Amino acid sequence: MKKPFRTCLRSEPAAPVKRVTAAACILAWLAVALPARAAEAPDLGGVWVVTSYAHEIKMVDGGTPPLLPAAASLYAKRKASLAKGDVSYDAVASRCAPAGMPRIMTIPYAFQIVQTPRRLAFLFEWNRLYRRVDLDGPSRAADDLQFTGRSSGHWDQDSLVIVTGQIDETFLDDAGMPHSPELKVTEHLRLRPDATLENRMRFEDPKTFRAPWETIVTYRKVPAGTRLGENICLDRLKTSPAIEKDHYLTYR
Amino acid sequence: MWRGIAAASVLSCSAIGAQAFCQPLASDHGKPLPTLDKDPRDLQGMWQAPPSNRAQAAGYEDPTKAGEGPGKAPTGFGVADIDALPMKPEAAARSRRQLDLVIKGTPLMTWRVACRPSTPEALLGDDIGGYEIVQTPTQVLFLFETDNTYWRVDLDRDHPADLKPSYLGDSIGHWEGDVLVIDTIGYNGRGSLAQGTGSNGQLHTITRIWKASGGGELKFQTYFEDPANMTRPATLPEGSARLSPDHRIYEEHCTQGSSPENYEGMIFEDFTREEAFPYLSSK
Repeated sequence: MKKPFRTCLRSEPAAPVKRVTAAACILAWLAVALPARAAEAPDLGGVWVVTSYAHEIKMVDGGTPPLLPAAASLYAKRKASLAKGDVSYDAVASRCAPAGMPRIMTIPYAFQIVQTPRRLAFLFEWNRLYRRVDLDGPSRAADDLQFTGRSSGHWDQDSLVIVTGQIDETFLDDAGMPHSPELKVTEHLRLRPDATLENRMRFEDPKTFRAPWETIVTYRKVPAGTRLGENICLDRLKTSPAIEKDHYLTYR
Repeated sequence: MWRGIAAASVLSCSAIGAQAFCQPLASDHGKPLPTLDKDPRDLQGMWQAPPSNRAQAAGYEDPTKAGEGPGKAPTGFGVADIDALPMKPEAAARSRRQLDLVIKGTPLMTWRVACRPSTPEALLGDDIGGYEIVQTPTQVLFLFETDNTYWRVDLDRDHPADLKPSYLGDSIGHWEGDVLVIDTIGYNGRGSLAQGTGSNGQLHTITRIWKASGGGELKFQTYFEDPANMTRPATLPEGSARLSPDHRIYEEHCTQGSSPENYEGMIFEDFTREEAFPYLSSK
């Protein structure tokens, strides 16, 4: 692809044939400069909310993820605390700390997707947080472990594939499923024929799971014109849980 | 620690000339941009504010570490020229008291310090965290490192009639030439642009943003009306940010590592300690 660049950069008098050449090389440049399929990528934009909520994450077949013994023990201990109403182990539930990945994608609050050829942004109503995905190359997030990790994406047919790593110490669900810093989450986002948005999430973390596994989260589009609100957890923690399990039912 | 203490206490007015007040813009935004900038209306990219913005950002410095001697405000913390602001007497008195408390090392607790979202203007001027602008034909998004929060400006609608007050308000924008003009109302009164402002729901801001220096610089200036605290509208000092293509976005979360013990010595006056940190008494 070097030749079109060199030709494009050459300054020559305009002539009919050369104008055609120039147009061709501009197209060639655009093909290189813009992400593949950007023009025909499905439009995921809009305000979305989960179609259902479960505080424990399950595999596609409904089974419990294949936790290694140490992780299973920790998870059981946290669930026992939760059953007793003690959420002190969970900074999200107890102090409104960021839910992070992948939990932020499963909580029962609306989010907006803003999409450009180079970037995808998830704008969350809960705590007014965001998550950004680079579509034009490696993630531009800092190298440190972060709550939403480092995400980069590309289009594969009609699915947006997002790979996320470098995820800080978050939970996989509201019951406290743990993971290690080695967690890699691969999401396949696609619009279904019924106009819902499917997020097939694959989890790989050899320090936490015996084998990779998948779950599916679906979202429905909130009617056009719905404005994303500002739900500041600390402002209502005194009177309601950090994560209100039925909140997704409040949207039109 | 003590993040944004000055957001509710002091604003450096050293950069504010009295003539700047009541003028929608006192800047060079009308000058033609160099041709290097392919599209002056394309604001997308990574931006970082220079330290000189601290005055407008209302600072993150720990005043206990940057003192300049008894009776003086710390370096970079901003000394408000309160007399230059068109403040109502009660607002000016409050601002003077806030400044005194800062100098004494016992500032007032603010909602921002208590881990609530900042105003867009404070986030724009923040010289600690950078931000990315993402743009579509109908929206301009500011993705801030500070607070890991976003400011969404819609270009295709009016303010709604049933506006619910919020920390960042409701923002709509339009282009005037190559200047993005953002009109924001609906603030919940908990944030601050400068001392004496934002303690009510009547704040109305108009922020103008434009590119300069051939596209390598972003400039902004906010004109505001605050009839509860000001006798007339005023304009904040012009701020800027540098295009920083290699900047890596970091998530800054106030709740991360924040602990009420970090705020010992601060005075709770506008709200209680329990309101600020509800988890201290929640189940």
